[in-house]
Amino acid sequence: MSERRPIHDKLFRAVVVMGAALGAAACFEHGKSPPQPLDAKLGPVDIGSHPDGAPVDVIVIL
Amino acid sequence: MTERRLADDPSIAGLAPADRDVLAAIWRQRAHSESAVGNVFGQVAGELAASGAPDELVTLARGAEADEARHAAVCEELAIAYGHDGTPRPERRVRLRDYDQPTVRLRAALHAIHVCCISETIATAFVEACMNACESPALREIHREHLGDEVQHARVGWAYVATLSADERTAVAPELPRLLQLQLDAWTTRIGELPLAGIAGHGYPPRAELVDAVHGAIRELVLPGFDHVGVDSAAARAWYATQV
Repeated sequence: MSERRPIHDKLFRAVVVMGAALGAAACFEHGKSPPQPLDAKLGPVDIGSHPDGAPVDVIVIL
Repeated sequence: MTERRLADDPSIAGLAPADRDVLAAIWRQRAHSESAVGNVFGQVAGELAASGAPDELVTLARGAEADEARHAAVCEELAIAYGHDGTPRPERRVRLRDYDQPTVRLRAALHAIHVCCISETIATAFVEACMNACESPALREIHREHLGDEVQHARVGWAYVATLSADERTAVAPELPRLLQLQLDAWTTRIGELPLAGIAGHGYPPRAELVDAVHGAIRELVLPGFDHVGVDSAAARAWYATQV
């Protein structure tokens, strides 16, 4: 924690710690193992909710 | 309505016309970007569902998609409050590019890391810096609400990574430098288009402060965040050492 300035301690707890706890709790409720194995290849199921969208490498809110 | 909240705001009325024009253009661009991020959250939600992520996380990602559409509308209203004529904005539909032959779960993980763990986590520090540069209580409140949403959106990624297996966490670690580089470049490029000295009191501090917020977020939130969720940050830290 020493690498963080106090201004970011609150954000770290709110974003990372709470987020990770949320995921751990959801996983516990959801079951022991994911339904998709690690090596399941992509199928034609879904290429995003906007398949007609222009592909981009990155997007930011600014 | 944001526009109504700010319509009679003395801080806007007292601005020089040139500054009003700059802010109107900035918020117009923000509306465009927020809308695009909403597209991508829709993509991430679909990919999380396809990967077998817990329903709660898919629901959170869907909520983020809706939030970003609302943010776009708020940004549009801010542009109008600063003097934009409100002509309709062309819709921008985007999706994050896929990676080379990814698996369902690896693609979902990398996109969630890209959008949530990195971009939206940086956004929390960026919006906080903007919020602290607001003079008007109404404008500050808009940023405060935005910050609260960004915190929720960033959590989606950290939550999803926490559900990954040890093998999956190992598989994503080498990809972090590339994703971080894309994000750092995108943020610094856009910040470079903002007024050098900022616009005092209107949510845009000087560029240097915003760049510092982005680096601070990477150094103090994102990199330790990966350690917190069990993803080896060594490659990412080695990359960051070359950036400062």
